[in-house]
Amino acid sequence: MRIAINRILQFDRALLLIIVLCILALITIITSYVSTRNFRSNNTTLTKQISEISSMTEGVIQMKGLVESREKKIGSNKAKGIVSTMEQILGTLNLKAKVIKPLSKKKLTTFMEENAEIEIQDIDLNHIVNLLYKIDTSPSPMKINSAAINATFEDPDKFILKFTVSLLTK
Amino acid sequence: MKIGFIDWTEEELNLYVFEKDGEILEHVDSHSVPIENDLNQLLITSLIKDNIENIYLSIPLNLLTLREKSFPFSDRDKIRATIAFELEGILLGNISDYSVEHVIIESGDTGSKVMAVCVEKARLLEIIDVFSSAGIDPKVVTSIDLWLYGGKAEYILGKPISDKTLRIEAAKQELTSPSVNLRQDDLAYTGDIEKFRKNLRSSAILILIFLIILSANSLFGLASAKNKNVSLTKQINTIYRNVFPEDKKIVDLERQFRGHLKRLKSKKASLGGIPVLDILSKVAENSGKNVTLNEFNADGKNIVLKGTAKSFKDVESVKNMLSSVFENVRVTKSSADTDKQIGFTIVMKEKIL
Repeated sequence: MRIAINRILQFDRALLLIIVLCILALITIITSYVSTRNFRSNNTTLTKQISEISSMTEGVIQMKGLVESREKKIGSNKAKGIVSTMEQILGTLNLKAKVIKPLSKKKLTTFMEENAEIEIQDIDLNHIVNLLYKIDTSPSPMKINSAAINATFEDPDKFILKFTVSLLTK
Repeated sequence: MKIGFIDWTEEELNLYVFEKDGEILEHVDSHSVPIENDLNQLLITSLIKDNIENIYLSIPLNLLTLREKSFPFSDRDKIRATIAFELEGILLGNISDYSVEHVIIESGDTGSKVMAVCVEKARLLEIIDVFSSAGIDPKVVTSIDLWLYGGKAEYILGKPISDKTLRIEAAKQELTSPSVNLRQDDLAYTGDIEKFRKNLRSSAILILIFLIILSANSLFGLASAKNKNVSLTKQINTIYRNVFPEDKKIVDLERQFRGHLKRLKSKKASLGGIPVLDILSKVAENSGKNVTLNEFNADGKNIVLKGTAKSFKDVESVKNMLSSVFENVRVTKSSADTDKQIGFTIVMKEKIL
């Protein structure tokens, strides 16, 4: 049998060609299987990353916008101080604060933070929203560090607003 | 398994059919056709009608050239190796034109007596060709007359034994162990190898077809996975460039994204403060109609809401609604007031990326 096989392999070129093609096909199958497996695993990771990053995209864009806007504002800030800035904002809304108390100044890595505590009595919700919006969109870079809104006993539509606000300067 | 033995004598062509069951050979059938002129394809075709797997052929003595020789040894291999040289010069023409076999007539310690059985290769080839044209390839070419006469020249010269019973018995013996096989070297029987080669080739072709289908399938899978990979890479790069268009080069997208996110978070922590307006808007959208909020407090760590609701179910509903936009939402206090209102306190945190 072995002699017969040897004879066939030596003289049957067609059979030899078929065997060579079989080997090539096997090599193709093995290499493509390995590559496909790698690609599929990579695709699974990519799909996971896409869904993760997509879910964060909106938040990151907002965060980026906020940070860039604040940085820009800090760069072009001409405000004199937190108290005068706040008085100016309150003035535009015809609001009067019961308390505007300047607090300590803090030095952060690349800028200064000037804090103040504000208390406004008998303010309605509409004015609260307008005031917070004005602070947010003010040309002076400002941020609110804490806020408390309490309804008054006399009139549930009126509130006491207490908050600490910071002016960021270079 | 059926085995056929063609006994070609000077007058007729006989076919003895044997059935082989294991080691046992049983004579099952016989056919004969007279030879009028010479052996031809039609004669053979008319003789063989059954489906017979192997055919053995016995040729008549008149086609053989027989020479008796003595050797000073009795070793079969030695005799086989030297007999051709011994016959050189005593045969017509060149020894290489003959197919040479031998039968040991006498064997002893001092030597042996051997009958050299020769047939011209050209003649043997003609015989094989005639049989091949009838679709028959004899596995062994022998002569049962040699067996019948025990290789003794003095008997061989007489009239051949024509008793069919004896010839069938001799054929049976030849099938078990052929006395000579004149199909040698380049005229050797290759039918089994051919059959095996054909089977092997068919199997190999089937395997090749299967492997080609399999490899086509794997290549298709690979191409599809690769295309998907390209598409996903493009998609994730687009998302990234949309968020961070200033990044010119993307090396490790995930790491770069996390790096930017960390930097933004740290900047937001120092520049952003509390987005009170956003929080109030979310609270207003998710607190429902049966709830009145009296107190709001945000200190950068926790957001505290105090209010009243019509039922505990409403409190739970507010909690669930707020859970979709805030983190760690929990009701820390809920109790019924004298005016059948449920006072509650909810503590929660802003969702961080």
